[in-house]
Amino acid sequence: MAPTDAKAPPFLVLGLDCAPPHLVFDLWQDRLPTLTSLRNRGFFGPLRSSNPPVTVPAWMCMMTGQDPGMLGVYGFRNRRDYSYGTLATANGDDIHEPTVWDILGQHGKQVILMGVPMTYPTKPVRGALVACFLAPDEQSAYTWPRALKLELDRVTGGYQLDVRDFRHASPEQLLHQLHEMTHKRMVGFRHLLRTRPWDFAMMVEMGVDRIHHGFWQYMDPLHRGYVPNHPLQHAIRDYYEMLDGLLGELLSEVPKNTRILVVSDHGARAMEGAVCVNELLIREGLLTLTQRPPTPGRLKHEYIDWSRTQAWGEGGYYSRIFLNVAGREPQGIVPPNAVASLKSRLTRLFEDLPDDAGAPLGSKVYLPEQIYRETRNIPPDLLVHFGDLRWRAVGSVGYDSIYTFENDSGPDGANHDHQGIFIFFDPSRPGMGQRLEGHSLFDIAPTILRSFGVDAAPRMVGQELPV
Amino acid sequence: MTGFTLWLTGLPGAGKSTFARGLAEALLRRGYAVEVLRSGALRPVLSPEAGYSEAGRLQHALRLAWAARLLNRNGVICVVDGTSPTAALREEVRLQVGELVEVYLKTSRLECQRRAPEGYARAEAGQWPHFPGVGLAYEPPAHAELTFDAQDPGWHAEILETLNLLELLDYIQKNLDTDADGAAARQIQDDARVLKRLEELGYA
Repeated sequence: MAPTDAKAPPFLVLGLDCAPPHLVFDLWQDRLPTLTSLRNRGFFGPLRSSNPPVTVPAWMCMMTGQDPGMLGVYGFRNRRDYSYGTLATANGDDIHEPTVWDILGQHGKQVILMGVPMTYPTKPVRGALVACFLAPDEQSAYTWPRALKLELDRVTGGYQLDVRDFRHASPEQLLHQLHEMTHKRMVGFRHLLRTRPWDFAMMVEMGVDRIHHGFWQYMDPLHRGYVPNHPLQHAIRDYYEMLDGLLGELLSEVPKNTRILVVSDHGARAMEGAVCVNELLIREGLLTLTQRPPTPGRLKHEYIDWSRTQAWGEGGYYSRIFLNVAGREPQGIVPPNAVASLKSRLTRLFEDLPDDAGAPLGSKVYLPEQIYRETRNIPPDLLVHFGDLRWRAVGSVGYDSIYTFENDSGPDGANHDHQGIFIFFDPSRPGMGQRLEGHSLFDIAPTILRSFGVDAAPRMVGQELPV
Repeated sequence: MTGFTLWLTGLPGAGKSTFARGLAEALLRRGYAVEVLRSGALRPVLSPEAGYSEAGRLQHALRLAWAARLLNRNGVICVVDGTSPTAALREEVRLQVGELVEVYLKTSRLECQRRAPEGYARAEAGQWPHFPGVGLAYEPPAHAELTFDAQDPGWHAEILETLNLLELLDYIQKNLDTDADGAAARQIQDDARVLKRLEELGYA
C-alpha cells in the first residue's frame, strides 16, 4: 500500500537477529544476492551491539537509542528487588522510553511491526503490531489490534512466534520448524504491507539466531564439536540462502523509493566452552552452599548459606554477578565500604582466569556504573564476558570442575559476538557500496528519525549514520 | 479483569443504540460490569463547546475514548455508541483506548434514512451541514473487527457473533466465575512457559 506522506519515502527495517558480518559480508556474499545487492548499492558495515550483546535489551536499545542502564533492562532476566528471589523475565512492560515507532506515530506516521523483541505485551501503535517471541504462545494476545492475529493465522496457515521445544527437538525437526516459521513470518509481513498503509515497517526474524545456536557446531571447524562433512554442515548456509530469497521477494513488492535498512542486534561466534561461575566462586570461598547437589543442577537460593556468601552469579551467554551486601540484601554480609575492593578482587579473578588448558581466557569484566550513562532499576554488580564471549557462563553447581563443555541449558553451538551488521540503501542517495566503520546500534534510531525530518529524542545517545 | 471497549460506528440511524443496548444487556447477564457511553447524550457534558466540525468531532471522541479507557482500567467494559464517521478519528480513538474492538454497522443509507427520517431531512435541507452521510462523507472502516450489514433491527445474531469473537480473543470468558481466579493462574502459567523457553534457548 502506498505510504501516507508523499514527502517522506517509506522506511523498511529488516532485522536479522544475530547476523554477523563475516557470514553476510564475507563468507556467503556470493550466495546472498539480495543482501549483497543492497550492500553494493548502499552503505554497510559492522554494527557494535549493546553490552550485554543479547537480544534483550539490544533491540530496544537500538529502537530507543538508549543504553541498557538508561532503560533499566540488563538482560532477559532482571532483579526486581534486592531479595534472593527469582529473577523476573523482562518484557515490553519494562520499556518506558519512546521507541522509533512511538515517535513516528506521534508525528502521524503509520507503522507496521512484526516480531520486534520486547513488544509483548502489546501496546497501541499507529498501525499494526505483531509481537515477539516473549509472548507465551500463539493463544496469547500477541497482536495489536488483538483481532489481527485471526487475520494473520488465516493468511499464514497458523502464525508461529518462535521455534518450539528447542532443546529436545531433533536437528531435522528444528530445521523444518525454522524454515516453516520464517516462511510464515514473511507471508504475514508481506500481507500487512499490502493491506495497510505504512510509512515505517519493521520485521525481526529470530530464525537466524536460533539456527546459529542450534547448528553452528556443524558448520565451524573452530568449534570443539565440529565433525567434517557432517550432513548438517550447510544447514545455516542453506537457511541464509532461503532467507535471502524471501527478502528478495518482499523487496520486489515495496514501493521503489523505499529506504531499506537491514540490521542485526549482535553477531555470532563459535562457543568454545563454559565457565561454571558459581563453582568458581565456591572455590574462591566467596559462595558457600548448605547442600551440594550430587549431580549438576540449577543453583537454588535456599541451598545457599548467605551468612558465608559474598557473591553469586547467573549463567547465560554472559554472566551477571551479584554481591551480598549488608543493609541491601536481606542477609548481606559484605560491608558497603568493602564493595569496591570486592569488585576489584572479582575483576582480577575473572580477568586472570585461564582456560582449561592453562592459556589466558581473555575474559572481560564490566561495571554497570562505568559503562552505562545511568543505572535504573537494579543492575548486576558486575557483567562478565568469559573469553570475551568465546565461552558462556553456567550458573549450575555440582560440577567437578569450573569448566564444562556440556551446557546446563540451551544449545551448545554459538555464542553471541559484539559486532552485528547494518546495510542501508536509499534509492535517492545510493552509497555505492561504501563501508562504514565504528558505528553502533545506538546510531540507528537517530538515523531513522532524521530520515523523516524528526529530531532524535534528547536521551538518544547515538549519532546518525553518515548515509 | 481488565476491561475493553467496543466502539460502534455507522451512519446515523444504523441501529447503533439498539445494538449497544442489546450487547450491554448480554454482557450484564454474564456478570460483567458494562457502561454504554452515548456520544450524543454525553456531548453536552463532555464537549459543549466542541461543535460538529472535523476538529470538534475528534475532540469529543477523544474525550469519550479517555473516559472509556479509564473505565476499562477499572474492569468495566465500555460500549461507545457514536457515528465516528472518519478513519482518522477512529484511528485516534483506537490509539487512545488500546484494547478496542471496532464494530461497524453497515446499514444501508436508505434504511438509515427510513429509521431516522427527521435527521436526514434536516441535513438535506441544509440545517445540519456536518451530518454524516449527507454533508459529511462517511468513511467505512477498512479493518473493523466486526462488520454487520444485517437489517434485523434486533441485532440478535450479530450480538451473539460479537460475544463469540470476544471469547475467541479472550476478552471475556464463557464463565465469569473463573475469570478473576483464572486470570492470575494463567499469568503464572504464561510466565513459566516463557521462562522455560528462555532456558531452553540458553538465555537463563
